[in-house]
Amino acid sequence: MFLTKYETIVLVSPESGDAGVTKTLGRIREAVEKTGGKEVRFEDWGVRKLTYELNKNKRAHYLYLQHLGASTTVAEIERLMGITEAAIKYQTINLEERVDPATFDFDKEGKNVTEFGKRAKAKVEARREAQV
Amino acid sequence: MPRKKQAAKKKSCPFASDLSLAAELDYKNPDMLKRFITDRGRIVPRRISGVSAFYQRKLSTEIKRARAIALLPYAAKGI
Repeated sequence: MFLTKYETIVLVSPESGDAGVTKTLGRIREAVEKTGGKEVRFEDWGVRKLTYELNKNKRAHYLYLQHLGASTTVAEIERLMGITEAAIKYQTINLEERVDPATFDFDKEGKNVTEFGKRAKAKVEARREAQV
Repeated sequence: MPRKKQAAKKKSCPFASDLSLAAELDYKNPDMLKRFITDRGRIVPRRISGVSAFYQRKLSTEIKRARAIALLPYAAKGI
């Protein structure tokens, strides 16, 4: 069976803290799993400044998830994000249609981290080193 | 004496002439997209930037995607 490759970005309110982030991420993963999708790669972009205010928030925690799934996966993610209070905004983009999960190279795609993902990771590591 | 009109220099598309830049054309790359919006946040028309029609279509989609998740601003109103 063929699936579609999607990427979803969710903006989480920084006020909700780590609990909000874990809860939101858990719900996205739940939606992907429940509808027969497969996670490819998750990136935590950390808290970034917004270019315009959203629900009186000037900053938001960005979560990025690339996954394979069907149209029902996207519908389920959007339904769940709509009822998650911590999630301020979400966007899913269709990257590639008719992907065969049997021949899909999960390892290669999993390493294909975006620039934001790399930067956020470097920042977290620098902070950890500073503490040590 | 009427001045002779100077022939306008033909602009070349920055994406067509540099394919590595075209590969970077993505909404997750707002720093690059900033080159193609004005300081008020509007998309620069291709008659100014010289982008080809093919890449301007892609560029506008990517800018709009970046706007939707607050990586780029929507056009500022007023004044």
